[in-house]
Amino acid sequence: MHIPDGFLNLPVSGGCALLSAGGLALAIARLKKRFADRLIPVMGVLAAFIFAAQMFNFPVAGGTSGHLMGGVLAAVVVGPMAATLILTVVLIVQCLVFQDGGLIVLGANVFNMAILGTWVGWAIFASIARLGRSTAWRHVGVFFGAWISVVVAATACAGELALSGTVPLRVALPAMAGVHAVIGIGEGIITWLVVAFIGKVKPEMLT
Amino acid sequence: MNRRSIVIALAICLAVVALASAFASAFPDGLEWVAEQTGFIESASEAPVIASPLPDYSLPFIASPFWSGLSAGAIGVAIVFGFFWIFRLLFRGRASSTTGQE
Repeated sequence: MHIPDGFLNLPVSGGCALLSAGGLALAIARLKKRFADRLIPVMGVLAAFIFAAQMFNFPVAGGTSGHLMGGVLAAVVVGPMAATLILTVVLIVQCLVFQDGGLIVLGANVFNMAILGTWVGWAIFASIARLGRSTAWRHVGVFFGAWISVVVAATACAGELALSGTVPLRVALPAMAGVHAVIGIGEGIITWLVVAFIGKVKPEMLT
Repeated sequence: MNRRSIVIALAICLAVVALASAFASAFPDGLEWVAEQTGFIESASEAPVIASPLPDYSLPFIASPFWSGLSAGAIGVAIVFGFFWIFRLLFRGRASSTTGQE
């Protein structure tokens, strides 16, 4: 759901950019202590994988398509703050090099996907995993956290579209949340598969 | 992550890019679809604020969509991973100058 330029007005774009700057500052501050030499290559690999996976649009019923967002995938491996930085780097490269997502609305895309969706999805994952205390529940948490991260990001996007006067909320919200509730199932399945794969071949990465 | 696992992981990324170049769905994504259905798709800007070198994940001078997409994707993977790699080198330099280790 990379928003192109033109969908959001300047005040909403600016407000989102400010929110994103705050979120990024928080993520960097929280990470500073943990910016171990070991973490950065893993972040690079995750960013490369998420970039690659975001090229892979899968068809969804009704003539639309979706691709992995990857926020919860990254958060499960390296934590939500590092995940925010990973997705932000991916979004900046997509915007500047590949014209995917607008430059003026970059702050909105970062806020929706790298910050809000990722943090809420991770919180849901962590709560379910902590509640269940078993591998099976962890899998449930990964799937559901990934699913909700997409729905939350789409809901925020609908709100920004409505605040910008592009489309009324009563139209945007059910449409965006509805189609992304379906795309989110793909997010849940891919995230679950990749986390399970990492758990098989490199379990020490998931501690 | 040791060097060997990084190389394997990046090879997996390139495989995903290749699969995407061959099989990715051309249907509009969720937001585009909503924009078409509810009629605000035309509010998207015609021209980008700044011109991107590789718009739509393609190299303009390669005719084959598969190779064009694969090359553009490989460049993207390299840029994204390279960002963190350079950051790591900078971080290492700073860490070694403050602690005298490494």
